[in-house]
Amino acid sequence: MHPTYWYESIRSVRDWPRRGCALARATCVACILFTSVAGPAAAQGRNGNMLPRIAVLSLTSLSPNFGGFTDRLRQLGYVEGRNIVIEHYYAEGSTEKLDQLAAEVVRSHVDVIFAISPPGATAARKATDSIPIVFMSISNPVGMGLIESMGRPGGNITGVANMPTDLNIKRLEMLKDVMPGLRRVAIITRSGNPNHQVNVAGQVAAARKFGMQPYVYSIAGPADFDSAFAGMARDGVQAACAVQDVLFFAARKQYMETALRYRIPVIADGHEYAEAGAVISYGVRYRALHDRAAVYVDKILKGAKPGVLPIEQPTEIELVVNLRIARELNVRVPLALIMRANRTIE
Amino acid sequence: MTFLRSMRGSLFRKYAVFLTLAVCIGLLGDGLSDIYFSNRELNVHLAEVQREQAASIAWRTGQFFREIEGHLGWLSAPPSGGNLPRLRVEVQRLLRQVPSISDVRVLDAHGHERLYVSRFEADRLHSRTDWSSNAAFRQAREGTLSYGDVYFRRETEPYLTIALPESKPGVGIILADVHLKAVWDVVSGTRIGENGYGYAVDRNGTLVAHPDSSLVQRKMNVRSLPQVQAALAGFDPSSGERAKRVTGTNLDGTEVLSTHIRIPQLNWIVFVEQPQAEANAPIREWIARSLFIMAGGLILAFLVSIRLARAMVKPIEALRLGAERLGRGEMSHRIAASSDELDAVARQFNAMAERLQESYAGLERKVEERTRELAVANRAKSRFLAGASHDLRQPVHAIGLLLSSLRSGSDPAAMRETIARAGAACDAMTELLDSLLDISRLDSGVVQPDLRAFPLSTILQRIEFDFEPEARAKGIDLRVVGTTLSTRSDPVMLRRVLFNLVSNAIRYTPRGKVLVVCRRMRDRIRIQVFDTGVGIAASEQEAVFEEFFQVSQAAGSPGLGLGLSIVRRLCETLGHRLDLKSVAGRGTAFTVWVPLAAAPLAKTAGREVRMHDIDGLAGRSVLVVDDDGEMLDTTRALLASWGCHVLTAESAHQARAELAAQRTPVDVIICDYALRGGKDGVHTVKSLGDIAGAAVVMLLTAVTDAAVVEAVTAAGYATLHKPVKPARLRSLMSYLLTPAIRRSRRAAAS
Repeated sequence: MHPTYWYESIRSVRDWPRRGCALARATCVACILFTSVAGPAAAQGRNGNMLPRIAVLSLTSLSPNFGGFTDRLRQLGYVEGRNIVIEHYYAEGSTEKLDQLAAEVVRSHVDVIFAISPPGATAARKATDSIPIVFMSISNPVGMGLIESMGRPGGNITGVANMPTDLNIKRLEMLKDVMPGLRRVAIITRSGNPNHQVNVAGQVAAARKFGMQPYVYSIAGPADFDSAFAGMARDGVQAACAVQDVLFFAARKQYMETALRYRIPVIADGHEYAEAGAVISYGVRYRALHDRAAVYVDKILKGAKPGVLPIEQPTEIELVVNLRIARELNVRVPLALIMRANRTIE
Repeated sequence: MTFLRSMRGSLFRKYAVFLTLAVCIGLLGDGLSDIYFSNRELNVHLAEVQREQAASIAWRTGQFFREIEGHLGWLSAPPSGGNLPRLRVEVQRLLRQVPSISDVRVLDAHGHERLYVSRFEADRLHSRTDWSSNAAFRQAREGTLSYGDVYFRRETEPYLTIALPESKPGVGIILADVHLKAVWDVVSGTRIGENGYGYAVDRNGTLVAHPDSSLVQRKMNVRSLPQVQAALAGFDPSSGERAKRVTGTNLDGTEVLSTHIRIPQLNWIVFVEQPQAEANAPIREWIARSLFIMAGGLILAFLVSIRLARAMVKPIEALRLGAERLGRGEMSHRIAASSDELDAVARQFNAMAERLQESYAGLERKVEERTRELAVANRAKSRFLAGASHDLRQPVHAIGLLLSSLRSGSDPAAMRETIARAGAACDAMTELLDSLLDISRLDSGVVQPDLRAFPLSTILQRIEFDFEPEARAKGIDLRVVGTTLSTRSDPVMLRRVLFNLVSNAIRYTPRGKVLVVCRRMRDRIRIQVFDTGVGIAASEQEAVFEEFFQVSQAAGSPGLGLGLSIVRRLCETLGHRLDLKSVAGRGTAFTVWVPLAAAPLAKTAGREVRMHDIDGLAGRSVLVVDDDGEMLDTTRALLASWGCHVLTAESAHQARAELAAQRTPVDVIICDYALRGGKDGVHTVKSLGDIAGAAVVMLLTAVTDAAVVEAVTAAGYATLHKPVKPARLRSLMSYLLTPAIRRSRRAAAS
């Protein structure tokens, strides 16, 4: 008789590996099933099973600098079509259409509105006080009544401001440095841009202080470029200062070509102007602003309240000198300015 | 079940517990010390990593400002001297080179602004704006490079003013506003693990750099955090740059491991923090892994211990069990070999069991043999009894018939004839009973051979003397060849052997010769009895020595069939070899081998010696005591015919009277053992006392009881079994009266 020992049941240990295999297989299958079912579901994000949606609201069509926004989003882990949807709403210069688009955006319940420039921001602000708005490139958001303060914007809006001070005065100073004999200078504004009307008085005063006679040409839009420059030529204006404007920016090629046609040297804000034909550009890098705006969008998508996100302001200012155009227009750019330039165009 | 019980017994438990403990203590000790030291090492390592990161942030931040200082220092000693337009160009170049600087002011010793160059606003020359109340300016005027507090432009843009003292007279003090976003990148660009980060506070505990820039823009003061509080409490501008590690909580309330280090020139403190849970994750993982391995090891150790303990206890248990089973009588049980030290024990145990089993088996075999022998003996006895009864019935039957014919008959001649026949029947019966008595005595072992040296001629002469008449009557030529050889044997028994052989030879030889011859064969003597009789068939040569066997050819011949069986028994008792050679129809030769002895003391007479001279009985006086009168008369007549002087008595009393009357001592007393009145013969003879003298005493008894014979022998008397044949009585008497025998018996009795 062989007695049975109480621990003999442990002999079935040798069956464990096989059981373990089965268990591992079952676990693998379960994991695969789970990821294949739950993975896409997790990628759906908020708004039920929909991907988070960003509405880009702009008066003008797509800027080349918009790549700064999408690049940053990609760096932050967003891939268009996979876990983010970007919808574009461009009003093509029409303010009325912009308002309509804003209403449409609000109706479609997007997650974030990316409002470009004061027209976009104003339209979005008017359309909703619940959907988060991230604005970009606004010099004086407090003055415009968009936000309560830079440190705590309040409401459903936040974003990236433009230069706090009026860089046009700095541009006028720069024109005087380049062309010491400059007497008559043109200031080109757009009648539809409220900021222009606010700042133009300061610019006129500054020009006078620099010993120049300012001529202000206020036009409705790109269609009036030719008449404006024709007027400058008639008035004997020696150089022009192009005030930053989203509509002008969109039509910068036509703008600068017109200036060249009338052989009037222009100083403008973004380097895109210098590339288009301005002798000097001195202003923020819009691509960097787009980049920063993407960070705000990310924070809001992750649950931050826009009203408590402080407004960021650009600090980087770029000086680009187009030496080719300068030569063409017989403008002698002093070495000191070339040395200050971040970039020169031959 | 006993095995199971005992497996759970103390030895197994002790082994199992001991082995498990031995391994467990080792494993636990190793595991725990491993965990302890790994924990310490990991902690040290983590602290080191944090310290390095904090130091790196501090160094890079410091480096950032040192570079700015360098640029400004270059500016403070420009080749242009006091030429402001030239200085402006230099400053503009500086702004181009150092993007973080937004404005530069050059002040005179009184704090009046001489030059202002900005990125955003129109440059100013000789504005003479008064900056004398500026803290940084005041420090710079004292000759030390100073850093102002962090301030925010338009609420959200952090700036810091650096004041550079006048290095050369006439150049002035330089104030530079530095944008701090680049510093933010330095601080927040450092990630520690998954959720760790770095940040910096100024000497008031206000955040100056943090990965979440909105916190800085909100000018958050974090001095309430324990680690910041501790750092500020220990804030000593003169202290070194050693990093310190403490535990604390971050703004979410999460427990963190925090290391801080001071940036001396800024009076900022850089913190590097990591959630405690995350920092300790590798340690916890390590501990979990160690515990898992330890648990696995313990289980394994446990199993191995049980296995080992079982292996150790099992052979012992097998031994115990084997002993138990052996004790119960299971002789065939063996212990399986176990190929270790206990194997020797098992082998010895098995050998012991083997021997036990063998001796047991031998014992059983012997018992079986003995039983079988007993059965054979019993059968032989039964056969013997049946033969004896049959042979006794015949003469008794015949006597019965003769008696009835006597009763009815009246013719005297016929009656004499009948009486003669009845006498013959009686003789046959007596002879048969004699033989039976002999066999009985020999079988019961009461007859001990009295071995001594004597000349064979005495026996041979008697044979010739006794059988001569019978042979002559039958017409057979009996020849006994004389010899001078002596042998060592019991003369009475040997004579009986030869008597029987010769008697048989004469009986089974119808005509022809019977020859008795002796011959010396080295140290033995071969005595041969030849006859020319019927012979014995080869198939019967074995059987002739059995009781009541008679040769088939001799059917109808007289005889009892006991003679040869007595011969065989006697030869066995004497230790003499007995051979038989025979051819049926031709004759038989019996050979008895006796040992050769030196010539005895008595010299023998010649062949013609008279019978009386041989016996030496003539003239002897004999007292016969028997309560049977008839017996007394018969015996007296017989003894008187041998020339003896006979006295008779029917009781001890009478015997005493007779002896007293005789006056001379008797030579022989023959007394019946069972006398009337319950007195036995020994007692009776002893009661005669001295009157009996030195007589040879013979007691007659019908019983062959060994106890009786022993009692008689013990008393120094000879036994005579009833019924007594005259020849036997005579030979015994003559033997006992031999002087040497008398002497030796007397010596033995006394």
